[in-house]
Amino acid sequence: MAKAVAVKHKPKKRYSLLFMVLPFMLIVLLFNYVPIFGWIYSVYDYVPGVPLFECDFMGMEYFKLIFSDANVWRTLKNTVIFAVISICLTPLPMLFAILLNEVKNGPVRKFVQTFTTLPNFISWVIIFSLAFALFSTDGLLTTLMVKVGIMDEPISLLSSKESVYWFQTFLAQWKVLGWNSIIYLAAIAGIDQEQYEAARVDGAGYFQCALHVTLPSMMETYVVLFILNIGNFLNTGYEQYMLFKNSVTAPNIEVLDLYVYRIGLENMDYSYGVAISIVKSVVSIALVVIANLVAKKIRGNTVI
Amino acid sequence: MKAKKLLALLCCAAVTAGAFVGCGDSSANKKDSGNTEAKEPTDDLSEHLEITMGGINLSPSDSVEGYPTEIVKDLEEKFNVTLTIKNYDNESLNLDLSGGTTTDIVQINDDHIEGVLKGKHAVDLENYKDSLAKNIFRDDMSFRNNVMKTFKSNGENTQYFVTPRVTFGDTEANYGTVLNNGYVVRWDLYKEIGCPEINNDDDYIAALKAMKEIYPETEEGLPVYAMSAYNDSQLHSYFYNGCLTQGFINLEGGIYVQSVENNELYHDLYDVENPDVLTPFWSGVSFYNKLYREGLLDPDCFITKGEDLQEKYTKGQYLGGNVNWYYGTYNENQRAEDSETLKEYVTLPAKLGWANEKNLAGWFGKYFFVSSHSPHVERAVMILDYLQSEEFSRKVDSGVDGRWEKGEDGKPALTEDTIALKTDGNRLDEWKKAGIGGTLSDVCGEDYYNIAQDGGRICLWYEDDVLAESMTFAEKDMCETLDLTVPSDLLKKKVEEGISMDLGNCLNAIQMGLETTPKNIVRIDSNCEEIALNAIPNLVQAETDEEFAAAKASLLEELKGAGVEESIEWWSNAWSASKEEIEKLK
Repeated sequence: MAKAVAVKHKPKKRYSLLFMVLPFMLIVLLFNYVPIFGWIYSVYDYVPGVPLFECDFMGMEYFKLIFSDANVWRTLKNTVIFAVISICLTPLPMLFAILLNEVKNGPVRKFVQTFTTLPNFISWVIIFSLAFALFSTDGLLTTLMVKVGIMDEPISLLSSKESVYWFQTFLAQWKVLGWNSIIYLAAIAGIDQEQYEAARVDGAGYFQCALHVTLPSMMETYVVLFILNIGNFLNTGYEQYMLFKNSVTAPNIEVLDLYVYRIGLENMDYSYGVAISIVKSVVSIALVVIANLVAKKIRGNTVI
Repeated sequence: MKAKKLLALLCCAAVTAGAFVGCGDSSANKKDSGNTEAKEPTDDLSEHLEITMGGINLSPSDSVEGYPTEIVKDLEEKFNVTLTIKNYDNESLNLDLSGGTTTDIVQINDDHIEGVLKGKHAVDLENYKDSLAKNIFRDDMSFRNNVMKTFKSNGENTQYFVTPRVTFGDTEANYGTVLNNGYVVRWDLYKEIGCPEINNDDDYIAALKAMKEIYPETEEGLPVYAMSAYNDSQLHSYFYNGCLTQGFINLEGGIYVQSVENNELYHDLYDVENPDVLTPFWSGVSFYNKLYREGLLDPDCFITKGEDLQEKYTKGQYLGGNVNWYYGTYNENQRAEDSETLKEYVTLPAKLGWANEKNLAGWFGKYFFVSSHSPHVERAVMILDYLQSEEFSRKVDSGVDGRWEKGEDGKPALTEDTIALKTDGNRLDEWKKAGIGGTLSDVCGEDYYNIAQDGGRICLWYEDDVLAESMTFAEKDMCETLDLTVPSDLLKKKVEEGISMDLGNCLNAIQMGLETTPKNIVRIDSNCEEIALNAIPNLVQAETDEEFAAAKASLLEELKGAGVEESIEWWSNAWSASKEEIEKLK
C-alpha cells in the first residue's frame, strides 16, 4: 500500500520541480542563448538603422580580417598576460580566507572582512580618481615618496608603460580580494570541526591545521573556481583598462575586450566587433573543455 | 507547508512573467517607415501634442536650468505642443534607429546619414515645400538645400535634412567682443611682463616662461605649469593647437585637415608628400615638445583628462592654453572675490582666428530630420520649419519679444534691461529662464551675423554698439592698456596687417559633399589615429631635435605599414570630387 502511494505522488513532485526551474531556464535562454542570434551580424556589413537582411552579405570576410589585423594580436598578447597573472594569483583569496580564519578576535575579523570586501563595490571610475589623487606626479603618495627619498623626482605610475601589468593587476586584486575570499570563508565554515580537534590531539598547531586540514578541504572549491576562471580567461572586461589607458600605457593596456569596444562602439564597425567576439567565445569554450579534461586527468573527476 | 509551496509557485510565476515582459512588442507606436508622403498637409494646431527632439550633443531638457525657457515656452504656445529635448549618443541613436523609436525630430552627424537614408527613417521635406516648410525652402537657403539634395539624399535628389546656422552670402561678420581661440594668457601676469608681442609659438613660449618666473606657484602653494594636454579627446590637444597657429580647420578626428587659405585637404599625420607644409599635428606636437624641453609642460600631461584640466585651471595652475572651454570657473571665481580683479584668462590671436565663418550650407556634422516613425509628422515638420526661420533664430540669440525692441529708426536693439540681465550676477536665474543663446542655440536656422529683414543682425549682441557692453574689468583694462575698443580688435588688426586670417575664405561645405567613408578606410584612419596617439609621448618628451626626428621617422614608418597611403588616395579623390561639385553649386 505504501509503495502504491509513493508511485502515485512521484510524478506530481517532478512536475512541480520542473515548473520551479522553468523561470531560471527561461532567463538563461533569454539572456545567454537568444543573444547568440546576434552572431549573424558578423556575416553582414551591418549599418545601424538598416534592416539586417538589406545589408551587404560579407560571408567570412571579417573572420579573415582578424588574422591580418595586427591590433588583434597585440591586444590578445596583453589579454593573455593579464589573464596569466590573474590565474597565477587565484590562490590569493583562498590564502587570505585562511589567514582571516585564524584571526580569533571577532570584531577585528569582521572589520578586516568588511574593509577588504568594500572595494568590490567601488566603481572603476572612482578607483581611477583615487589613483589619480595618489599616483599622479603631484599626488599624495608620489609626493610622499619624493619627500622620504624613495624617488628622486616625481614620476607618475599612471604614465609608466613598464608598470602597466603589475600595477593594473595590483589594483584589480585590491578591488576583488575580499569579495573573492567570501566563498572560501564559507567553505572553511563547512569543515567538520572534529578534523581540527583530531589534528590538535595529534599535536598540530595553527599552521599545521591550516596546512593539513583547511587547505585540503578547500581544494574542491578552488578547482571549481579555477576552471571557471579559465573559462573567463579572455574576458578581462574593459572598464578598468579604458579608464587607465593613455598615450603612454596604450600599447600595453589595451586588451581584447577594450579593442572590441573601440572597434564596435567607437568606430561603429559592429560586424567586425562581433566577429572578434565570436572567436573569443570559441577560444574560451575550448579552454574550459581543456581545463576540465586536465582536472579529470589529475583528480579523477570532472567539474562540468 | 502548503503556504510555502504556494509562495514558491507564485515567485516562480512572477519571475516567468517578468522575463516575458522584456519580450513585449515595443513598436506599438511605430508607423510604416516608408509611408512618408503627406497626402494633404494640414496646419491644424487644435490638438495639444507631445513633440520630442533628440540629437547628438543636444542638452536634454531635464538638465537645462530654467527649462522650459521663455523661448521654448513661446514655441510651445505657438504650436500647441510640449517640447522635450533628448540627448543621443551614438549607441542610443543607433538603437533607436534600429528599433524605429527615434524622437519626432532627430539631429544626427555624418556617421548616421547612410543608415537613416537606407533605412528610410526620414520624412521627405519636399512634400511640404509649398505648405508647411516654407522657411526651409526660402530662397536664402537654396545653396544649403542644393547641398542637402545633392549629397545627402542617397542619389534621390530630394531633401531630407536641414542644417543649423546657415550664413547668407552677403553677411559681414565682426569678431565679437572676445576671442575664444588663440594664445591664452593670464592677463595680470601678461601685463606684469610688459605685454610682449606674440606672433608665433616661440614668442608664446617665451611669454609663458617669463610669466612662470614671476608666478612659479599658486597662492595655495600648488605648482604652476604653462599648460597641459587633455587625453580624452584623442589627438585634439595637438592638432587643434596647430590648426590655430598654421591656419587649418580639422575634419572629424583631425586625421585630415583643410587649409583655410586654399581649401585643399592634407593628411595631418603623414606629411611625407607635403614636406613644405607644416600640418597642425606636427606643429602642435613640436610646440608641446618645446614646452617640455623648457620645463613648462605639466608632467601629468599624458594622464590629464578634460575634467582634471578644468580643475587645475580653476585652481590657477596653468598660465596658458588655446581655447576657453577649459578655463573652469577661474575667471568667475576671481570676479566673485574681487569685481575689479585683473586675474583672468584672456585670449590673444594666433594665425587663425576662429571667426567670420561662412557656413553657406550651415554647420556641418549637424543634420536635422523629421522621423518617419513620428506619430505627428506634420506638427514636427511645422516645428522644424519654424526652427529654421528668421523669427526663431532672432529669438534664440536675442530673446523673445520684449527682450529687444525697435528704435525710432525702425532698427531693432536689445533693451537696457536685457543687457543688464546678462552681466548682473544677481539675476542669473532670470537670465537662464530667458534662454538667450541657450539650449536651442545649435538648432536654429540662421547664422548669428545674418541681417534680418528689419535691418538688424540675427544676434543683436553682435551689433557694434553692444559689443563693449559686456566686458569684464580685466578685459576693459586690457583694452585700455593695448589701446583697443574690444579685445577682439587684436585679431582685426592682425587680419588687416596680413599676419592673421579668419575663416572668411574657408569653404567648409566641401566636407558635406564627401561620400560616406568606406569601412576599410575608417579602419585604417582609426588605426592611424591610435598609432599617432601612442607615439606622442616619445615625440613630446624628445630631449633633442635628433630624438624628435627619429621618433617622427618611426611614426611615419608605422603609419605607412598601417595603410595610410590607401587612405590618402581615397580621401584625395573624394575631396576633389566634392570640391568640384560644391564649387559648381556655389
